[in-house]
Amino acid sequence: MIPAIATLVVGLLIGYMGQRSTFCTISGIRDLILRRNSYRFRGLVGIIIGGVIGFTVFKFIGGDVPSFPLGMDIVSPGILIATIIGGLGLGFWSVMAEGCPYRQHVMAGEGRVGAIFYLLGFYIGIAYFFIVTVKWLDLLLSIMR
Amino acid sequence: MKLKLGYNRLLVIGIIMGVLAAAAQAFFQVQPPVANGISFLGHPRELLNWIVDKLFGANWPITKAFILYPPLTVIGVLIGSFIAAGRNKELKLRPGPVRKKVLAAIFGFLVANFGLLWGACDMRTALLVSYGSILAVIALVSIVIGVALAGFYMQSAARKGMSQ
Repeated sequence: MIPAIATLVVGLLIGYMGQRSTFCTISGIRDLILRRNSYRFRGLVGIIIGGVIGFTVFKFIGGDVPSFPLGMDIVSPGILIATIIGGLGLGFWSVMAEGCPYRQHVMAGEGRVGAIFYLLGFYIGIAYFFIVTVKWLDLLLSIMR
Repeated sequence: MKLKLGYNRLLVIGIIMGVLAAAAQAFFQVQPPVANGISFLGHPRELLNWIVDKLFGANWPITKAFILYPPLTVIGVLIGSFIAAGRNKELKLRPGPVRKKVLAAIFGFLVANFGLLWGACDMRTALLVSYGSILAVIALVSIVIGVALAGFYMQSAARKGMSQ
């Protein structure tokens, strides 16, 4: 019950903050590359800084932060290839959709119809991944081992 | 509540998000996997899998933390955004960001599949980078390259559209 409530509270806070700002990590990277504008990119930098501060301090005061820092976690060449292809596709299609999955959730909450349809496709995509994509992935990874 | 933080507003919001995600893991059992306090692929996936498992008895994977109750991050974000938009008189149905609805759904479908191939959204990737994951650094670089490719593609498409 505790993790569910914690995620709900975190979700409420970042949903509110997201609507009152233009926070979007993908748009931040895009603006920096295409317009040389770092305003939104600072959000991405902020998450990394906040994460480093949070994980370090919370580990120091006795929080549950195992295996920190993770370090080298590349377990196989197949995982590395999947990471690169997945990252490229995530970045590319998020720009085409004009926002990261977080931003799309925020926009859907404020009534943007395009974002609502994006989420429809997004959740169908998750189901498709578990029904179809994951089986192809297992097959490919087993060949590469 | 009005956020007046000037040019560094998003930096501060990002830091708050990072600390919140770290606190959710460190003190509220939102793990394993690590650095999973905020995730817009992992948590939607867990929520969907939980619902499908409960409704249809499927055996789609759910992480230990969310076996009894699913992660409610996306529900929280939808409600939080709804409240913020309502309070500021910005709540109304309007088109966009992608105006063609089918195209928007296709983009969502593709983002979900490519994101799950790597295993995390851009925000959790950033959290994993802060957790010291080398794989996440590679993923973040890949995301940046993907964003750049899409940006240049859209720019060239816009130029072609103007010249015709």
